[in-house]
Amino acid sequence: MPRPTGLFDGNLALLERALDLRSAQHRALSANIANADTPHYKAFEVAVEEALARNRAVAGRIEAVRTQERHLPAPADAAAARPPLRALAAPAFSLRADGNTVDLDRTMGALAENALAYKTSAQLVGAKLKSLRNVITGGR
Amino acid sequence: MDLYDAMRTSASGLSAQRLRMNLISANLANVNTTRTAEGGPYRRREVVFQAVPPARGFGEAMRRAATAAPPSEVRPLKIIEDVRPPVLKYDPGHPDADENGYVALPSVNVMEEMVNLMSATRSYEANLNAVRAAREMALKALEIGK
Repeated sequence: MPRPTGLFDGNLALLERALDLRSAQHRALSANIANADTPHYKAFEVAVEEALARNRAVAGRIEAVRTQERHLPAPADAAAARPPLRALAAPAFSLRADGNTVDLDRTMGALAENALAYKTSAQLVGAKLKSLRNVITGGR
Repeated sequence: MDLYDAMRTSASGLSAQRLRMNLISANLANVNTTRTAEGGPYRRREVVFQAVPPARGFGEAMRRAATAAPPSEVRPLKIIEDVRPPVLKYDPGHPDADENGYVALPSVNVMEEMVNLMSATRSYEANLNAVRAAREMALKALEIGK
């Protein structure tokens, strides 16, 4: 996570992280939906809100910089990049006997909510860049 | 990229559910089949799914180990044949009747197949919705900077 510098304030970095986490969440939810009929599959999701809250707290720390695309991520970097996963509890009063914990209705709801949050973040990033461009061109 | 991975995952779900639907169709089509290549009446088939990690090659696996990635595409593990005994029906005129006049018919329960078919259709639609959502998200991301 780059440190806030002049033109691009901390909010832009936070929005970028939010987009990352939301797309990771979408991937997790898609995996749950694809495996809705897989025996013994355990549903999981990305703890997006918690990760974003933690992200705020550690802003401003010292980071290792990857100067080459092929470098392995440094520990702090990797910990920040890895989306925190958590297992989802099986639905209450589940009548399934195959050990699968996917709640399809809940997952579809979470999917719609997550997609909306992603689009909101993307729109905010766009609006921020637009206002920057407005300043650069002097409002013309 | 996570959204591409998500689409691939959903695609694996679509293909798995389609296979399930194909097997259900085969079961329904053969509800009265008394002769098969293996001999005896048709045996009802069903697919068992398995969750697999989407690793492809060493570099990819390394990158995933450093970032994220529990399972999760779905793959058909095997196709199992039903172990229920065939249903015996008294029909002495049937060419496949035994000496007592009973014909062994497949243990396909039409009601059960229809319920499975509905379940497979719903799962297919859920995967399709996930693909649609991923597409919308990617398009929205492309609008940044416009």
